[in-house]
Order: sequence, then structure tokens, then C-alpha cells
Amino acid sequence: MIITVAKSDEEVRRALEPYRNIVVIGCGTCATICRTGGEDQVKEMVEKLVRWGKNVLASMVVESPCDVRIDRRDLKRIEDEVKEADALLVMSCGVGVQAVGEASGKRALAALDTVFLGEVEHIGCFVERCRECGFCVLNETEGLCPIVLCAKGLMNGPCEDMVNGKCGVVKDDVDCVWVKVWERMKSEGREEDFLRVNPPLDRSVKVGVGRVVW
Amino acid sequence: MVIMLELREFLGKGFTLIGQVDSARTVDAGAIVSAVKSMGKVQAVIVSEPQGVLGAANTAVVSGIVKRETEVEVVCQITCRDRNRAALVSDVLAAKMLGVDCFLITGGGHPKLSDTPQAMAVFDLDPAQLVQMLKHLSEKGETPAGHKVSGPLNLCVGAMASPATSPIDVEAKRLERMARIGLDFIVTYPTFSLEALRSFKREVKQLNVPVVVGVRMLPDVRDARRLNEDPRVTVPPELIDALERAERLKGEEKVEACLEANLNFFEGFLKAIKEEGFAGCSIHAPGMEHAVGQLASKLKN
Repeated sequence: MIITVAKSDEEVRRALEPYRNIVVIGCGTCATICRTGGEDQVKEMVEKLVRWGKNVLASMVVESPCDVRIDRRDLKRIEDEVKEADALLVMSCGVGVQAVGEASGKRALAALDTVFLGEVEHIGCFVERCRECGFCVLNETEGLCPIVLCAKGLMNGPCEDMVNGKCGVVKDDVDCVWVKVWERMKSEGREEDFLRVNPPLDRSVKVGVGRVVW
Repeated sequence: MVIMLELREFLGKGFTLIGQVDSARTVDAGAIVSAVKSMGKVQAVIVSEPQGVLGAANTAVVSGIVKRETEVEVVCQITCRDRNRAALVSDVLAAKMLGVDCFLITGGGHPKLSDTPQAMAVFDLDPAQLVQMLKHLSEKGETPAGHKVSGPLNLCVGAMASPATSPIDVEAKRLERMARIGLDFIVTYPTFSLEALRSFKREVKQLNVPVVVGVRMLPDVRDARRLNEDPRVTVPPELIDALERAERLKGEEKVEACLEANLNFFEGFLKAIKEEGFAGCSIHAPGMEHAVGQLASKLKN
């Protein structure tokens, strides 16, 4: 799940400053779960824009705005309004904003900030779990991601900031992930695995625009 | 082959006395050199990064200057926090050019806990990976990517350890991981607890790596209280009391009383460390480096 939070009214208003005719696009997937770009939030945004003196031509929640094919298909339903719009205000993650811009050929503005890839503990509680390093090491680290869960992203922890099994950097009563990895290995009699040196990450993998093509 | 690694030799023979001096955010190398000279006769000196300060003068360069000006064996502390793998190699080669053979590896505190919390935490390599890279450089004369380095390296590589951390078994395993790669020595973060040192020693004994105990002298009671904020450090109450009494004095009298309080405590502490069979101690006395020599001479008596 891509976790988003709403930008402040002030920031959205400033981004919309040069534009009058607006189309609002929500996200039926992640932003709906995050309650940042679902039906209710789109409705509230439309009301807000009207109060700010904007002319809202149309609004809709696209099933997955990150999918350009779906954007092209769904935006056809409001083709005339999109054509007439000065800008589209997109209530989705940054991927959705860019895909909607690409599909519509219009200026697409972000209403949300994309904060992380996370799991949903319950609605209103989302926790970061992946930083897309390109080398999933979960098989070597007892299913716990050290890139996210270690404040320093160490591949061979713990570090000297660990205090009584807790992370001394975050200082929010957060367990040190490397202590957890050790405890899991120890409980299963695999202490030897902890002594393996995980190699440094290949940073060249994350240079430029990521692309998977087949 | 002439191996200039005096420290490695010292550590195999008796109790090694090492001084520690911090680099600083300064262009005045003279002050750092004077601090080392004021220590008197130590067998080596660790040039470390000041805790919580980002952007202090590069320890590789400072180590080189200290070595040139004092002719003391220098141990250059290198952290993983601020440099990527290329910059780390670059620093080590530059230090080696300046005659520095020994490197003490530490991760480095996170910038968030420093005076420049906005800075990026690099950690391109972690301490284990850096030890591995330096050993590879030293033994094969090339970077892990296979790039040749001209000239003999013969590096002596150590790592920092937390003797009073909990759980201690995970710290021991972290050290064992590095020891398997090839650690020449371990230096502990300062502790005032002999009990913690004893259990630490039990945990790491089978690694057969010389352990140098980090000793931190306290210039005043404020410093002692600040150190006490770290849950892994407990400054003994009798030392705090003595420093508090010193605080009530003024000028030279106060300085003398602080020094006396330190010497009184650490004389016994160091003798106990020596008796426990540790390879040596590294005495860090920020702002009162002259006390290192005084303490060292008490140990010899």
C-alpha cells in the first residue's frame, strides 16, 4: 500500500492559485484506504474549492490513477470537462498524479504527500515496511527489513546506538530490528546465520528512472 | 617485510596505554598536537571524531599531522556515517600516505543525535562491511570491486564495542562477525563499571582479539551528568560527589580538585582493568589531556 497524507489547505490553495477551472480526481485504491483520496475526501475537496472561488467542472474517483490505461479509460467519461479544465487536482500518490497528467495531457497537481510504502494495521494506522531498495533481503533477515526498521539502514547490525534492545536513534520505544533478528535466529538455533556478513547494497540499481519492461 | 604496526605488537605484550584525542571543528591542528604532547608517554593515541559534532576536521588528516608532529603511533577513528565506500577508501589511503597504519572502525552516531541533525546519514557501508573492505584492501591490495591499489598497505583494523549494552550476547555476536573477517583489536566505549567489563570479557574471550578498555576522564561535574544521561553509562556516585565538591571551588583550585577526583577514582579503576587481563586502556580526557600522563604514571608505580 502506498501511504499518503493530505497536503495543507494553504499548500493546495497556493498550487491552484493560477488556475480557475478545476477537475478533481480521487484514487479508488490506496488513497481510499488512507482516507486521503476516496469518495468522501473528493467531495470535501470539491466543497473547499468552491469556497475558494474555484469553478469545479467535474470530480471522480478513478479506480487506480497510477495505471495510465485506467486513467485513459475513466477520464473519457468526463472528456469535455477535462478538455476545458485549467488543471486537474489529483488526490492520490505521486505516481497517480504523474500518470493522470500523462493520460490527460493536462497540468496535474498533487493534493497529497506520498510518505511511504506501508502495511495497514487498521484504518488510521499505517506503518512503513519497504523502501524499494531493489534487493530484498527479507530472506536473510528473518523477514524484517533492516533498510526501513534500522534507523541507519545497516545490513549488519546492531549499531552502537542500541540501548537495552531499543533503537537509541528513534528513541520512541522502538525495538532494535537487529536485536529482533538475533533473537529469532537464536530461538531457532541458527546463531551461525547472524555471523554472516550481508554484502553492501549495489547503489547503481537505483540510479535514474526505474523501469521493468518485458 | 617491515611492519610498522607497533600497536599490534604492543597489544600482544602487557598492558598498552593509549591516549585519545578528539578532532575538532577547527583549522588549528596545533591545539590537537599540543593536547597529544601534553599526554606524556603513551604507546599510541586514538584520533577520534568528537561525539555529537559533524564536520570536525578529517581524522585521517589530523592523524597524519599528529603522527608527524609527535611520532606517537596513531590510531585513526573512521566512521561510516558521513562517507560512502569510495570516500572511506580515499581517507584510508590518504591517512596511510601520511604514515597512519591503524584504523578504528565505528558506525558513528546518527546525525539526528548530533549538532547537525539535518545532514544525510550515509551508512553506505556498515562497520562489518568496512572492516571487510579494509581487510580486503590490506591483504589483496585491491578494493572489493577489484581496483588495484599501488603500494603495500598492511593495515591494522580495530572496531569499537559497547561493553555495557544490553543484551550483551548480540553485541558479542556482532563483534564475532567482525572478528571472523579479521579484527586486530577492539576498543570499548567508556564505562565506569568493572562488573560490565568482566561480563563483556567473558562474552568475547573466545574471539581472541585484544580488548582495549575505553576510559573517560571527566573535566567537571556537568560533563559527568551529561554522560550519565546515557542509560549504558553510570558514573559512580563517589566520583560525582567529588566533582561536585570541586565545583564549589574557583579557578586553579577547582581545576586541581577535579583532576584529583579523577586521579583518585581512575587509579584504582585502571589497576583493576590491568589485573583483569585486558590488553590495555584508551584514556580520553577531553580538555584535560595532561591528566592522561599523570594517570599513566600512577599506573606504573
